[in-house]
Amino acid sequence: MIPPAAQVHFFDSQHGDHMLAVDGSRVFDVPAGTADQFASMDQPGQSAFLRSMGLDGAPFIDDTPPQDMPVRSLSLAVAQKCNLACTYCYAAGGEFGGPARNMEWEVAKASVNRLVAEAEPGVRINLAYLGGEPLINRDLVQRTTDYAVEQAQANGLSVGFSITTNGTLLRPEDAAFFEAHGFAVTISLDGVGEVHDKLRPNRGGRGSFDTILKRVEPLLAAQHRMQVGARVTVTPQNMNLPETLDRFVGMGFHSIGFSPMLASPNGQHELDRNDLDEMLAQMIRCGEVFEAAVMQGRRYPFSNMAAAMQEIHRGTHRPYACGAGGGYFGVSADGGLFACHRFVEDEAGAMGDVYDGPDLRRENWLADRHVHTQSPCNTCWARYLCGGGCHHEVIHRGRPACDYIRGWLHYCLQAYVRLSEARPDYFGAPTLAASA
Amino acid sequence: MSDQPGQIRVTPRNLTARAAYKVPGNPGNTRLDGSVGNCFPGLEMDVRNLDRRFFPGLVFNAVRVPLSPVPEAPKNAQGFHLVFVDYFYDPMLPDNSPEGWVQTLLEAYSGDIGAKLSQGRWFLSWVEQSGKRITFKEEDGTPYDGLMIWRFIRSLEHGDDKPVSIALERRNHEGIVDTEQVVLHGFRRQYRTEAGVFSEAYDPGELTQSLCNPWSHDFRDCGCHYWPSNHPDVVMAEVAHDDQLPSGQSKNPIEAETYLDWLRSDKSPSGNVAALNTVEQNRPYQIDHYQVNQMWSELPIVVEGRETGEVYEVDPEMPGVEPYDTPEDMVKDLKTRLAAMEMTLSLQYLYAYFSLADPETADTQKWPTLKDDLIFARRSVLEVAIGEMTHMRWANQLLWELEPDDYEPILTPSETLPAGRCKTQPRALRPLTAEALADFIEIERPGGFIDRAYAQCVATLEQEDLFPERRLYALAVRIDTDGDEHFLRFSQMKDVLAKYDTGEDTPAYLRPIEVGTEAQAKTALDLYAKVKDGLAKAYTLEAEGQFEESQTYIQQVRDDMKLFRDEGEALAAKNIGIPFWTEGKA
Ligand code: SF4
Ligand code: SF4
Repeated sequence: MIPPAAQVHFFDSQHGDHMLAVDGSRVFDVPAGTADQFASMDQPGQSAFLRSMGLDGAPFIDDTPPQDMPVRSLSLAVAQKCNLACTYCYAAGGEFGGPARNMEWEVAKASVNRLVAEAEPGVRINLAYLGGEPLINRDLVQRTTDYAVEQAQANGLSVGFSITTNGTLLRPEDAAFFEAHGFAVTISLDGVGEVHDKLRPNRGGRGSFDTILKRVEPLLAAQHRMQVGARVTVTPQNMNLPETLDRFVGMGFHSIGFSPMLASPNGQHELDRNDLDEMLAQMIRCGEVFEAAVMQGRRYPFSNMAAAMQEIHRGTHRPYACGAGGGYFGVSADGGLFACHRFVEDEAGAMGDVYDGPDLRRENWLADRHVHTQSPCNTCWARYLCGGGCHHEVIHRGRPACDYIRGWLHYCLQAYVRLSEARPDYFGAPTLAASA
Repeated sequence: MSDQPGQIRVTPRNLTARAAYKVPGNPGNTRLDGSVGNCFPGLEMDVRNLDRRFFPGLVFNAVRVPLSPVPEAPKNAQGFHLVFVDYFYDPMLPDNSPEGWVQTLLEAYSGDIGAKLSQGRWFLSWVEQSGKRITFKEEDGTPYDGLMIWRFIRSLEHGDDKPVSIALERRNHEGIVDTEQVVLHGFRRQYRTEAGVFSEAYDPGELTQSLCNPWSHDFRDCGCHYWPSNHPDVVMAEVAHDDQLPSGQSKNPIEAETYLDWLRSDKSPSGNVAALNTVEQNRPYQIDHYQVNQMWSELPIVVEGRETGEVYEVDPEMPGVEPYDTPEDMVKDLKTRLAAMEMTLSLQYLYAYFSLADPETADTQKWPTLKDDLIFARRSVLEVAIGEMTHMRWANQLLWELEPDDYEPILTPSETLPAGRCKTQPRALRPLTAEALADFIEIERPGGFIDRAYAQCVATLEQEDLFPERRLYALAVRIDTDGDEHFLRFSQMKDVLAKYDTGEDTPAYLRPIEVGTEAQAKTALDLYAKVKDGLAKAYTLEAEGQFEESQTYIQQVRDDMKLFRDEGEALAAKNIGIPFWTEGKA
């Protein structure tokens, strides 16, 4: 039995006191003092209190892992090598700890076929190109894309493409190709100028930021169907998030997101507890800029915040942090299926190959990784918003960032109340039920 | 609930909270127009439950005359029975009302009158509105049946200018009024507010009382005819589409065409045995009360009289029916074939009807069930015969609607009947022998000739460009789908009558009738001619739109049919069959 105290999380805002009902990620306004009143009750009292609010119904999420999920998204490690030498790279220099190599056409083709085989007409399938640096194997990216478009058309499917690149190998003609196929392009950047270069030297040790900028500009200019985003991995060395965010917004990126560096193969640049506190403070500062912009009716492409607002509004509740091993898999250069791109060549996430589809290890994975089986997640109030954390980080480093995650979500809940009061239109509603 | 803290007021904010939030108060279907009743009137409430509170402060029940009361039961228990006095929360009777009549009623209910009404059995004696008083008793003093009184109550009007007075009387065990009446003055309740919401006088669940929900015990025994679609008595078993022979008949006709009890508890193939004839006989094999709560959802959906699995599939092999080449072709076929055929069938069935023995003279010593079975068989054959007459009328109606100017009634029996694909058989006047019955079943078989005879008309009239008027199409559909019942009737008859067919002599259920001479049957034949003549006149008038005039003839036809039946019986008692036509004696 989950103690009643783990079923709710109280927070306040200038609009009063609020409560997150963990089950179903439901947000309520409650009378002032409810949190204290709740804290002073014994367990049966707390249970009765929850019952009186109708929070004792059938749970939104049970212990059963999903069964027979079709494979909807694959990321192809088209080049298990990289022209950069990021100090913290999860793929250990693009080679995932294995030999450096390119993916063969047969493997890419089989990946598309696998997606098509598991999809009914009308479904959207997704292909992501990752590496290493995927543009090292540009020919394969193009050929696979053309093949996927053709197969999707023949089978009545729609297909979405994305690519994550370090940007150094981008060519002007890539812009036209990505635009034509509506790619979501993610550029891995680690800050602005020198900061970036320190973390992302190329193999010769020279910085890469300026090169990248020059190469990304044509893409930013061509964005129409294509969306170009920046993904910043936060390390102790690039902790000036508001400035970074502002700079990238000004450059015209469609979205900018930050993620903390928690587990690198060599332990370099991992954030410790103090760093995470610092990062949280900086994230909240970014969030405040976002709030101010939305209040004024301006778009501000801070993706962590935008995603959180929509998820909280919809009451997103998930038993897993991500789709890894469910509907999403990473494909290694030689066709192995892994829980996700970060698990490529990692026995902990191996689940078969693209030719035969996921094997039994996937059922075990889904059963093992369910947030209800994770401790301390099963009594954490953030469990259905967080989902238990990135599997890769959890398996390799544990959960060092929970306070950061909860701190961030607590702030996001408050921001949600503020924004839903001030700008219900941002959430697609003309007006919102009056608050207590 | 001592550990329950005081309810606090929370406001749902995000989407999941709003979606899962239980709004206090009445659910959306409190409004009639928001409920299933919008599609299936009557399914969501029993309207009698409105009228039980027609008078402020009182709750009645309409009690029917008991079917077979035990001797010790109180007498005259039927009527509009006062169940209890309920004035406390009646929205018509607020404590602080300035209205004199409200205060008078409140005083009465809380004082002596209330005390008096709680002693013994009280019934509504009369009501009065707008100077009209209706007393709920026969001339000999017998109280009316509750449902009859209910109809009067329904006719009361509400409104400030429509006061209502009522009188209540107390009846003792012998049904005798034993004390002075109580007379009260007030107004009829307005059952719904202007906004369409039911008055707060009704308790939650009160309006659905007496309905048999499938998950309630009542459902099992529900015999009302209002919901045949929800609660069929007998059904045919599910069969795979590819189990059909090219002729359209099932590979295993016994399995495919045996009528099963829908409520049978053994749903395995071994439980698929023919339903027996009466509810009582089937009773032991049905789902029991304690089971129906659990099993109601396993009761299969029935489509076209047949149980279906999870998904209903149209038979892919079903031969498509092509419309007639031209509307003229259809008219011709209706005239020369279909309408005349209906006439022949109804006469054949009538002939067979008269061949059935009189239940009153049945040898119940030798055959204890014969009387009941004869009553059943006679009623069934007659129903089918009347059904064919109705079809004949519909076929004529199709004709006059299609060609109002050239219409001539078709009332002459055809000389042949269809037998299998593209074959015919001569018409024949036959007693209801096992062979005759087998032929009847064959003719009426679902998917057989008759069943599909009108399908071509349906397909033709379905073409909206040619026939924008949907009424004709609906009419054709009605004839086309009406035949299953006939097949069912004959099949049941076969099961019921088979045991009397010992192979020797005439079976006990038959009279040895033979087709008589025209002289013998003169009276009957004259009546038959009169019936045909009357129908021809009535149809012609109706075709011209003169409905009232046509009704006169219809009434005359009905009277003649009654005489005809008596005459037919009299002849049959002498073993004489009516010679509707002279050839084809069997
Ligand atoms: S990973 Fe941490 S924050 Fe996320 S659910 Fe588990 S305990 Fe909570
Ligand atoms: S396991 Fe981690 S890296 Fe892999 S998809 Fe999930 S969140 Fe992303």
